[in-house]
Amino acid sequence: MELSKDITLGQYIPRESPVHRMDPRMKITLWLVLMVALFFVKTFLGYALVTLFLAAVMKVAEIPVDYGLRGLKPALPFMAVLFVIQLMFSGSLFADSPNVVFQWGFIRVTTEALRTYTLVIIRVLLLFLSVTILTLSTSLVSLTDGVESMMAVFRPLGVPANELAMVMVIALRFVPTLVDELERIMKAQMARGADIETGNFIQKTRQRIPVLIPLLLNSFNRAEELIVAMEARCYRGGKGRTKRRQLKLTRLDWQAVGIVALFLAVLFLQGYYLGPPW
Amino acid sequence: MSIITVEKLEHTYMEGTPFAAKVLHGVDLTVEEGEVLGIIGPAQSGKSTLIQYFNGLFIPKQGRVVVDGIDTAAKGADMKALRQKVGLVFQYPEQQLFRETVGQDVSFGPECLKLPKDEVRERVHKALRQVGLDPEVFYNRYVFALSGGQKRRVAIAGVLALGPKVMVFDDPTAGLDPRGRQEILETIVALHEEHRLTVIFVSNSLEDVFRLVDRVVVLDRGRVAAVGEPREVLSDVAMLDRVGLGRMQTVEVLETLRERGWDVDLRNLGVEDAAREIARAYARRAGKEAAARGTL
Repeated sequence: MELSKDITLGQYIPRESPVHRMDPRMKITLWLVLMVALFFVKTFLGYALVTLFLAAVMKVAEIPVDYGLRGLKPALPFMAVLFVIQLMFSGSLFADSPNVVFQWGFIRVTTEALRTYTLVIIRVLLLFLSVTILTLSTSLVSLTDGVESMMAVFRPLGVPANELAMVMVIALRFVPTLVDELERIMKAQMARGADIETGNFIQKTRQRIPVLIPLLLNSFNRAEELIVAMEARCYRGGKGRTKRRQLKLTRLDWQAVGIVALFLAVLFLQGYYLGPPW
Repeated sequence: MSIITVEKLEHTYMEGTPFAAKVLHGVDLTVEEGEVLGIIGPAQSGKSTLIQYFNGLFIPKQGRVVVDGIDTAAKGADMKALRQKVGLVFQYPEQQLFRETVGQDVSFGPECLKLPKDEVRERVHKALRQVGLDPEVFYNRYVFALSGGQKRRVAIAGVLALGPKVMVFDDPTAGLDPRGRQEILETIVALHEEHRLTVIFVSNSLEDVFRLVDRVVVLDRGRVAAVGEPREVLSDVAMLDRVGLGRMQTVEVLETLRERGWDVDLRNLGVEDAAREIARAYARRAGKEAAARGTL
């Protein structure tokens, strides 16, 4: 039993690729742009293009494809449930469609609904994959620096940029730690007779208690230790802090902008001229 | 008769990811019924990984692990029965306590076995006595009001309540004060001597290992570097240095004397044995010097 194998969130693969060397601010910006663009893609062909693009980025960033995809695995059952629920309760949205695939009482599945929600699921999975690529290719330090410096724009509005960046980083940083801890506690309870792997839904939920209570307790202890450690290092938020590592935009970043812009143009043209149904 | 047999066992963490790390490279090992086996090795030597194979938390992909006649990789191997036979106490086991009172927490294991109520109670009482906690006093105590050493013994009782034949302890004295250490070690000795359990004892303290075990296995980066009687293994200074383990204090003293030309036998590991050996060597030296003066 090894849980950490399937958790890619919060991991980082140290490499020297161009994707790794980019300025984190530009990387985050382009990633945001891509995320927004994803919401305007409405065809399978469009998503195929995005998938290809992400695959290319993974190739350049030297992220093994199977490892990148592994992170999607825990999300799949959740996605499946979401898909079914959406299909079941969306009948009224496509009420005037004649293409009924399946009908039972108020549950009415049409080809339009099938198409729409398949696209939604693909979109969510692609979003998840793009976050994975971002975190796998960006070290925590650069991620914080990037987020902090980008949020500094809002500082005049009273947004505590450094603190928010710190919150994000601590959350990400502790994902692998908590996964390890969860695994340890599950094993310890299994070693004293807990049956965590079998049983129906209710039994399984009840069997979470011996795992969740120690996990929560240890997390609180950990948080307290972290606070003391931060205090001991005189952490007082971002005020008056200077940085040894200065962020600098290089030619590489502008090349990346060019590539993404080009890709978005292709995506747009394809959506405009080829459009639905494909 | 051997109760656990490990053959050519290999293990890789995070297999199939960029973080893959092989930690066991073909380990062969047997545990005899009724013995106390020590497992030592520096950090990252694979100790904690290895012991998780003993109760089926890891299932071998390469190699074989047979526990009391059950091949753990066999299809349909009864994992529940296996975990009843081999009790595993992890590092810092007090972190796995989750119920309010001592009695409730120790009952968790027997309840999982769906035993009748009075048998659960009986087992809990027995397990508490086995770890040296009086059930009359501790049964209704709140877990979080106990000392570190007491909590740890409650956690050990939680595993004992399953009624195992083999108990595996992963560094059971880590982070305890001298008194807590002493109590845990005495508990382990009693489990072996009075209750006839087979004990596997993983530790970083060579002194504790020497005191407790009949046989010791040294792991070095996922391979077995030495197996044998503690006297022989723990006095093999060259091997200990190669593996990167420290030395027992007595060995350190004897080895220093040996380097300075004293004729001492390093296998006198106990404090008193070492003292006697030094006295003997001193007498021999004094005798030799006297003899040398005599011939001059």
